[in-house]
Amino acid sequence: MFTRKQWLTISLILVCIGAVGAINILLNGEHVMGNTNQVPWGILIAGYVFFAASSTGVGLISSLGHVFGIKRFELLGKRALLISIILLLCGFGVLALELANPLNMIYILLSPNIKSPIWWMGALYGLYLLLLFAEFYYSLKEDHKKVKPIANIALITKLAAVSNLGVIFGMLHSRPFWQGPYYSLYMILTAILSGAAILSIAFYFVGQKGRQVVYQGENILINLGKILAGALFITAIFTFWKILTSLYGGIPGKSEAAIALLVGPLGLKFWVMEIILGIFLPLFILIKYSFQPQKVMFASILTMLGVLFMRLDFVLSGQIIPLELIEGLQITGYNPYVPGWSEWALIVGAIGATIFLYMLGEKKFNLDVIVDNHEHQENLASTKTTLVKVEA
Amino acid sequence: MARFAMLIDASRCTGCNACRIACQMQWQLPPARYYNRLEHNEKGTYPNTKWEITPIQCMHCDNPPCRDVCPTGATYKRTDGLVLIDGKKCIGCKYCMVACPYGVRQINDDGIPEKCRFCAEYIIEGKMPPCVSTCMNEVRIFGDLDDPESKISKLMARKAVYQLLPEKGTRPRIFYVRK
Ligand code: SF4
Repeated sequence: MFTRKQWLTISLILVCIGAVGAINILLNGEHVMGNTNQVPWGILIAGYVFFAASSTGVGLISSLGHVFGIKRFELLGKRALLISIILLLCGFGVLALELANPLNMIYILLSPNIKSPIWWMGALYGLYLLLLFAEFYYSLKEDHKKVKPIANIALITKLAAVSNLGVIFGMLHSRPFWQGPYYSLYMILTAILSGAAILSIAFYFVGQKGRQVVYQGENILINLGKILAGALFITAIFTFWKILTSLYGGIPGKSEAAIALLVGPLGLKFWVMEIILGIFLPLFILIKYSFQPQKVMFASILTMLGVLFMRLDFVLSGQIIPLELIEGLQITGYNPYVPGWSEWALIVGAIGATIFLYMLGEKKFNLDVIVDNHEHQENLASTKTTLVKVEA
Repeated sequence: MARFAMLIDASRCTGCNACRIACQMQWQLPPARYYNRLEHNEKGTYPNTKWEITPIQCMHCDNPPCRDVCPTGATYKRTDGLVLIDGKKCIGCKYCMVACPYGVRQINDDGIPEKCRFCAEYIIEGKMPPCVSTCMNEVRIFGDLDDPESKISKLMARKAVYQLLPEKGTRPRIFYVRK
């Protein structure tokens, strides 16, 4: 694998690609974006959902440790918080470039419309970011008395934030494929999916530095891999029923969107990237190799690739069918959408920024975790170096 | 207080698009941007077929989803019924565009999803919107439903009318004469 220096260089190249895209969008606005009046939300909204849900997912899994007290997940501690912060900041960055007038955001405070799910998104993710900063700060100071209550509030906030992310789409009666509570639950589930995948990738590389991330002699990647496999399996079930219920009865707007995913213009992305590469292949790898750490990491990279396309499919499937506003109107064709290169560049740049900022964080902060564990000192002692420091 | 509305008799429409062009002239829109459009629908089976034309523009709904979803209140409804946008509050999230079941919003060069404004500035002076005044067949009738003497009130009392997508609960202020 690459050295630290090489990783830094790669991530910086990606950031530069993203910066070029961002500048092009800032200078030329909608003209260089794929959005149209028929498909107003494109890849940057999908990108925002990708980052924000991943951030929440990382947070949800780390809550297993610092909220529910499951010791092995306490190992994720500060690293998970840092990753969560970085992902959310990158998500906000992508969103800011999608918004035509982000400076007017002040009116979210000055004239709030609390009926708007986007208002709630701003409020909940804003609060979540503040709580993440506070939790990270006190975790660095090892002030566990303060961390615990913050983590408890953060758990409620992140659950509210990520399910509200689904509500943004679910509230739209104009878009039958999205409408309903399904996407709220789906968002929580797929957040856990991407959270497990991102933590697996991150902790694999932490382990690469000669330090094993183990608890009771078991590599944390095995646990993360199991969560990932569970989330992949349930996502497959969710997707299956969503498609089937949408097809059933040929309801206008719903069944056509499902057909667009299965055999229409979204078909290739849906089958190859989302289903095969993003769900079945990682599931196969995880099970076939019994959650071997390196294989968990490979499966996680595939999953994240799949999740990126899953978000794009999700955002486009609600808008690809022309609105049927006159009874009996013949719908001919789909609303076309092709993302601009600047938008792809921005997504790539945000991924680069995530890697870059995380590596900076690794260098700057002491992210190792002290877990109080008397019973298994022997196991831990047998490991070369461990992130788990045992308090006597 | 006035209660502005529009009655459209689509059966009189020839499909000349003068309404669309008059609106584009009025608001200095580029050719690809328009606040009203004609939907064409083929009806019947061969050889007894016909084109049915339906003029579409912002419905100025009484229960507008675009207002409900707008996070900053940039989209608002005036007491006289007009649904308008305060550009300086708009963040450009385009939620209103996705929420509108009639697909009438068009993004402008400032990233603001604009649409038909019922020519707010003109109607308070008693003038008619150009899409109404330019039409050779009087397809559109615009006026105040609270004034029983207005042409629209009288026609609405006589004709059977319907609204588009009533099942969405938007309660549009544009009514269509039943064919
Ligand atoms: S684009 Fe502007 S008007 Fe539309 S919902 Fe967003 S803030 Fe409101």
